[in-house]
Formats: sequence, structure tokens, C-alpha cells
Amino acid sequence: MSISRNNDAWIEDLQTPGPRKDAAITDLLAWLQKRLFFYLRDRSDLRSRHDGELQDMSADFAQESVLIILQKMDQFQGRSKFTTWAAKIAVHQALGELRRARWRDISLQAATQDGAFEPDFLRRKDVISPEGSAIQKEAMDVVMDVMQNELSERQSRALYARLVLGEPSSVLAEELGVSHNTLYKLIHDARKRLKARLLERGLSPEEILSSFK
Amino acid sequence: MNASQKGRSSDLQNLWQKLLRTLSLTHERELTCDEAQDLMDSYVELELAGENPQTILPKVSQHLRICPECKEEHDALIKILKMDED
Repeated sequence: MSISRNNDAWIEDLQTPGPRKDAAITDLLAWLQKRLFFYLRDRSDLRSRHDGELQDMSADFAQESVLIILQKMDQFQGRSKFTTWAAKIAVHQALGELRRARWRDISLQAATQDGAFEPDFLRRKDVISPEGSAIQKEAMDVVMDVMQNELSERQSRALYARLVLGEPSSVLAEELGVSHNTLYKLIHDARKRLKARLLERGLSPEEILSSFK
Repeated sequence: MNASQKGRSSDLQNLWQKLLRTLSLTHERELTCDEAQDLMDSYVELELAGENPQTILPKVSQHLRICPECKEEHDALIKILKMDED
């Protein structure tokens, strides 16, 4: 396998229709599949899967990734090795698929339980013990007030879905009908608002955290 | 307080601390996931070369501290690329 190509050779081979391109695709597929397989086999959440199943998964991920890589060739700027760039795309693709699959399982389980959105999910009586510090109680009041009165419903729901439920951002972005970037900014604005309100009251998150010790 | 209530209280305490940690890491200007992903290959190559990417690409480091998905992908990429060294 000629994986020793430099960046220029990879680009030229993958963009020259015919046997050179076919050989480069075969090499790239094999290189990615082997690494994805060892990575998947090392994941604790996939320990129950047989090697054959992991081989199939890594083959599927590698094939999907190579299609994406070929579509994105014009975006490769040569700031890293071509194989590093390709591996980054493959990891993004594979982990995105794994997160979506895991979320399907979790959300199916949650459908039978009470998984409804709770704007007051950090209820003080459950979180702060009677001997809890005054600073924690005051901070909780500020956070709950902002969550319920200042953030939009969409921001509160997004924050809840990511922080509490651990919903994958790609799934959440689809549900909200926004791009991944817009979702990030939506939650970033919510975090900034919460932090600003705490700081206005002289409460730094670091100080509140240290009060737990 | 029974065991179930204790467990729930502990979960909520963890959640509360998680939110506070997230807020403590929140900056006025942050890279989005797409922007951080764009620099991820350069970032891990610096790391694997023994450089300090936190000094060279501090905004990517900051993003990785606050975004569990990008951090997971960063760690996976490091693992995969280290296979070439082993």
C-alpha cells in the first residue's frame, strides 16, 4: 500500500480519473478502515461487539468518509498532512454516527419515562442541602431566574437538551431546524447571559464551585 | 432521605456543578464547532510533534474544554494517529 504519498501526490492521484485515482481511493479506504477498527475496538461502549461487527462498522464509516473527503478535496489547504485531514473527517463522521445511534437508544428508553422538559430542572431543594452555603443558594436563584425569565424557550430547551440529556448537537440542530453553528451560538449566548447575571451579583462561577469543597 | 432520593440529589448536584464549570469556561468570544474542527488537524499535529498547541492555538484549546463532542473527536484523532507511531 502506497500510504507514503506526500500531500501533492494524494491530491493529484485522487483528482486524476482512472487507475491512479482508484489506487489512491483503495489505499485511503484501507488506511482509514484499519485505524477506525482499532479505535472502535478500544471503545468501552463497544466492548460487547464482535470483531466481525466492528470490521463491518469500520468499513461502512471508512466508505462514507472517503465519499465526503472526495467532495471536500477543494477545502484541503495543506496545513496538515493529507492523512491527518482525512482522519479528522473520518472521526467526525464515525463519532457522529455513533452518537446518533446511541441517542436513538436513549430516546427510545426515555419515551417510556418522564423525559419532559423541566425549566426548573435544578430545583434548589434537591441540589442544595440544608447546610449548603448561602453563595450556592443565591447563585441557584439567579440561574433559575435567568433560565425562566430571560432566556428564550428555545435557548432553555437547547441548554437543557445538551447539558441534562446529552443530546447530540447534530440531532438537536435538526430538531430545532437550525445549523450546527446557529445552535452553538444559541447556547453560547445563553451561557454568556447566565455568567453575566451571576457576575453582576458578585458571584463568579469559580467561587461558587470552590464553595462545594 | 432514601437511596433513590440520595441518588437523584447527587445527580442534580453533579449537574449543577457541571453547569457552573461550563459557565466558568464561557468566554465572550469562542470558536464554534465548525471553526474548531477546521483547525483540529493542525492542532493535533502540533500536539503529536511535542509542541504546545494551547499556546499556538489557544481558542481551539478553550473550545475543547467546553465542547465534549469536539473533545471526544480530538481524543479519537490523537489515538488514531498515534497508531502510526506505535
